[in-house]
Amino acid sequence: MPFFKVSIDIRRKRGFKELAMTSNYGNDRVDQTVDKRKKNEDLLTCFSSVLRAFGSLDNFPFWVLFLIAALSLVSRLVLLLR
Amino acid sequence: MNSKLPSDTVAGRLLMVFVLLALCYWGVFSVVCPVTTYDAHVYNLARLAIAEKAGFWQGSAWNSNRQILFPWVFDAVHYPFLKLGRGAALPSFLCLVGALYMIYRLVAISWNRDAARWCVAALLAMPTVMLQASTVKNDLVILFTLTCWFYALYRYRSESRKWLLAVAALSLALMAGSKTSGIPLCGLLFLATLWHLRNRWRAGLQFLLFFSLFLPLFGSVETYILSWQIYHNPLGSKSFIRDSSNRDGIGGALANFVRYYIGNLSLGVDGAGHQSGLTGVLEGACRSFLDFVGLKNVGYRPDFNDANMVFGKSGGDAGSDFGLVGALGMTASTIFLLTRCTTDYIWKLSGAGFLTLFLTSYTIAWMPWNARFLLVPFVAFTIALTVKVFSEPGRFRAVQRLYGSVIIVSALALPFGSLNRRPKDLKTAIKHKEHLMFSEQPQLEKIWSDVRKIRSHNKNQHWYLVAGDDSWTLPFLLIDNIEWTPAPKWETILTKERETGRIGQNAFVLVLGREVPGEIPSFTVMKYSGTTLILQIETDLLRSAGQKLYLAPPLVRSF
Repeated sequence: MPFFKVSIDIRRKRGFKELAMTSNYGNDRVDQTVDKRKKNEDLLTCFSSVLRAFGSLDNFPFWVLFLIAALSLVSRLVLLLR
Repeated sequence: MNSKLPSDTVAGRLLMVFVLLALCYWGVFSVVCPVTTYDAHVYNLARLAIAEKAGFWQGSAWNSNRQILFPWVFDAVHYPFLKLGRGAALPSFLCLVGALYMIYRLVAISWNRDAARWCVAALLAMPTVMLQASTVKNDLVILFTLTCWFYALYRYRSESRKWLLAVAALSLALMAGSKTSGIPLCGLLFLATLWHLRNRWRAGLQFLLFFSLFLPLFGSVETYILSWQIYHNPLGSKSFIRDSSNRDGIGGALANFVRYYIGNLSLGVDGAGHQSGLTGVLEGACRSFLDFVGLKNVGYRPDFNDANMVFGKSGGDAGSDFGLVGALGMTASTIFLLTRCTTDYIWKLSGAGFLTLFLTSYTIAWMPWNARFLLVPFVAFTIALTVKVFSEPGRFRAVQRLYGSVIIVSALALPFGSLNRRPKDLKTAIKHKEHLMFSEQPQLEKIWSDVRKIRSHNKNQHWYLVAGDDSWTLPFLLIDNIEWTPAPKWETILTKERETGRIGQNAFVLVLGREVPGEIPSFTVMKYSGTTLILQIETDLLRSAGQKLYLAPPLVRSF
């Protein structure tokens, strides 16, 4: 799963969690434990998908493109501000 | 990309090992090789050093109008490598590896792995491709961004992910910002993208949004603003643009097309150490043909014509062709275009190659060093031929063996026929990189050494660099511990000396290709051929000379 989709999914899940917490005020403690575990899982999923996207050979040329774009942007900024 | 690929053959694996070894050779070169290219020393990278010392937003320190008006997005990528002192060619090499990977994947999925491997090997056998991949020029990035754009849209068709549209938009913006000749291609591909997404209006809008975000960031807007400030024209000097463009319309485009076609016929044996005499035959044939069809002396830059037209094949970065593999690809693509069905992929590849070749012929005036503008068409031609030969393993066995041998021999021989990418140059690059740095202008090495020697005996002296339009400024500006002031106008020295108020400290002036006005109170430290010398200026006398100082004509001139 690509990084961008994962991050969108996490945001969605977080939204649902907040909704669940406000509607189930009485079960607050249980929800918080579940939320914490889920949060860790989400972070792991996000981290592994970033690694996967970065490590995926299919995306390798795009990382070269991003690297070139980033180097160009930083170098030009440095030279333009001198 | 989920497509399953068929399993490997032993020959296929061996070919892959060969490809990886070849890539290792060129990769090592790109890391250890210093900047060797004429253009980079004069403007591509020289302007980074000038911007570092004098700032970007000024009009007094540039010594060539090409430092101002050409887009610089890809050139700027080399800045950290210039500071490091090594690896300046790495960005181009990474572009090559990225492009090869995408070509491999696309061919492997559309046809088979064998064809994909041979396509990669074939590109490694083309002199201009490999020389551009191991240098700092901004030509291979056009091929890379084009391949990225295609690969992103190809994947978007099956994956429908937004970020692939962002990649396609970023590729086009980088293409336009990296090289002037990338602008018409970017325009064409921008329209092609909108056409491709015509039935997915939401995706089309997203692409437009990404493109409008990336174009200001990566379209080299700042060079257009600087050109506006200096020339009152965002594209720079009008006469320079006019002279560098094809001024003869369709007639000029057809003549240029013929020149590129005939000029890139090759036996694959011509290079730095050997000339077969083919170039003379091709030049004669081209002149006769153009004369016969009534296209004499059209399409050229004003300083070139049929009489001084030369087809290089010299093994240098700017004077090579695409070898025997490229010539075979071009010839075969002509046949494919005329004989195959228009819906066929090989026909489309050949057609795309000729379309981009014609686009270059139409937009840019013919110059002897234009082969590097033709990377895209020749890569398309070569892929078309290689796919045709190797896509059906059971067919054309004899042709496969013959063409495969041509590819392997050409790839092996390529470094040996080059001007400064031979195995012995690798050793030179590691031990004496300045020898390699000046391989295109060896006479400058002595001057460079003298400047360093003088600097070692006069550590506190200030240096001025008075350079002409075609001067190699980069190697001098990169010398450690010299505080340079780029001063293409002599008055800059007077102004600077008045500002700093140094008393009793004479400054040195390195003059590269400029006349020295008689009024300058100085004595010659070293004199070289032409108008190149090292002076020591008596700054106290200079200040008293005041307004009598000769005012040199503006350096940033049109030509």
